Amino acid sequence: MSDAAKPAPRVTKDSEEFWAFAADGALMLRACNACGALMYYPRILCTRCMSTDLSWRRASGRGRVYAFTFVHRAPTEAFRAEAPYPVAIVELEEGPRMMSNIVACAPEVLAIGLPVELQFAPRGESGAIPVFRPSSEEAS
Amino acid sequence: MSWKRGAAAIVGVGETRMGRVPELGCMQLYALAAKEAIEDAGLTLADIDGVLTIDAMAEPYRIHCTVFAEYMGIQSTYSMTCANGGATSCAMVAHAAAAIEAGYCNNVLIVTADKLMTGLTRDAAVAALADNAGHPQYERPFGPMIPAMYALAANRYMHEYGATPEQLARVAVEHRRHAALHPNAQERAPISVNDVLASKMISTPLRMLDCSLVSDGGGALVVSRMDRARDMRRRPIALLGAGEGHLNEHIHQAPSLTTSGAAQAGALAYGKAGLGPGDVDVAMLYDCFTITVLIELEDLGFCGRGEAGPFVESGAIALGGALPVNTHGGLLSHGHPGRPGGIFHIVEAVRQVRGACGERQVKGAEVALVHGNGGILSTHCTLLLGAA
Repeated sequence: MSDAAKPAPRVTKDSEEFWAFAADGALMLRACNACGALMYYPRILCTRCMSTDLSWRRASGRGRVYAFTFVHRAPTEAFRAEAPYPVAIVELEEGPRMMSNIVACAPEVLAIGLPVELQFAPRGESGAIPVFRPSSEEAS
Repeated sequence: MSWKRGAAAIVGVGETRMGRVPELGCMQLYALAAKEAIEDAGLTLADIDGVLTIDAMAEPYRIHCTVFAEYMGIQSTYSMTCANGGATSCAMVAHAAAAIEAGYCNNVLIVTADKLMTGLTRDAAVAALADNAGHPQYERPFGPMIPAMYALAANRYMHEYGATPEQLARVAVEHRRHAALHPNAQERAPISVNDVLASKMISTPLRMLDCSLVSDGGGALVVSRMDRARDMRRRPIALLGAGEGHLNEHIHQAPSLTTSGAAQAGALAYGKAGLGPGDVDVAMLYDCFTITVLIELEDLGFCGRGEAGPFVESGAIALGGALPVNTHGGLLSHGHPGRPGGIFHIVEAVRQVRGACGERQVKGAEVALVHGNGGILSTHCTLLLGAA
């Protein structure tokens, strides 16, 4: 993979810890200690009740493909080398949706509703981004 | 809050040459579009006391609205540079009406232009590409482009409702048929459904001809108080209703991929106007991609959920159909200079209600709906325009 040339996340104060967790192989949701809301992506406050009393909750890593596309016209040279590649919106079993890539998946297998599981792909100097592969276990 | 139905009207419209316009600079396009709109209204520079602009990628300024006004020779009591993606032009009309109602000004000049085809420096092109890439942390690392993000909506829409690539293609075909009747449209050669399906894949299921154009061009409008508008050169076209809906910015945060803030924007506009979808004679719908039109047709109440594909396939959006859409050819065929894209829909709506569209005239067009969509189905503004 020519991942070194692909864009690394532009880290902010909100996400320093999120991306540090990712580098260690954990996808973290932001949980509101006041109202229980779960958020992807992390903010300084809860988008439901504005509480700033938040904690991290580790996502199970299980989800389903909500929508996908094979990108033929890629934004940069590094992506172009891999086109067409799948970009997807994955719905996590905890509820929130996120954008990601689907890896290790034959094109004809990729479908809306496909159960997927988390893995990490190296990105940037020592970081990692969350991507998904088809689930190895049949999701209930 | 005090904004009243029909208290303001569009009294002048202008559009520059569309497509490849290397001989004119970016600010020149703004100025020529503005001159045409002011003269169309029968006004002079001294009459303009409000200015709303959108900054240009090809020639950006720190305070664009006053740079433009100074270039033009306009001094005003109301001035703002606006940015809300493809919904901006519609929103500028609604906000101009609100500013007039609030007593800020009497005659607002709205103008936007850009040169995406021939005017971008290398730096600006890089900036345009970055603009294309979604959230810098939670989307861009995965390699989407704007077409890919609309393709996600198309994928989900087709899954939920069984819409076909042929139905998407038909949207592009009808737009091109309309553009053939517009002397200023960038692409006028007819295309078939097969041509669309044979065009280069951009991001499944969207192909090249499902995507809007890249253009140079500019457009302008003058919005005035109705009590003054009645004495102007042209029959004023009243703003009967307006509404906005902004639910999210990034596509992965959208509550749904098959409906959008257009539903709320449309409902508010209809409510203000005391009209419904059945009262609309012609619709100008933001058509950055073919899928956008299907979602808007449903959100704005022209057909039920999942029915837009068959609706388009029946010929309903063509001239002579139940609801002619984008009679100028839209962003798909008339032209798309980027940020200015939405203004040409308004220009065409005004011309339709004036009865000035020649062979592409919708007979008896009295009420036109215009919808602007910005971002990735993110920002929405609906206007209802009608004969005063």
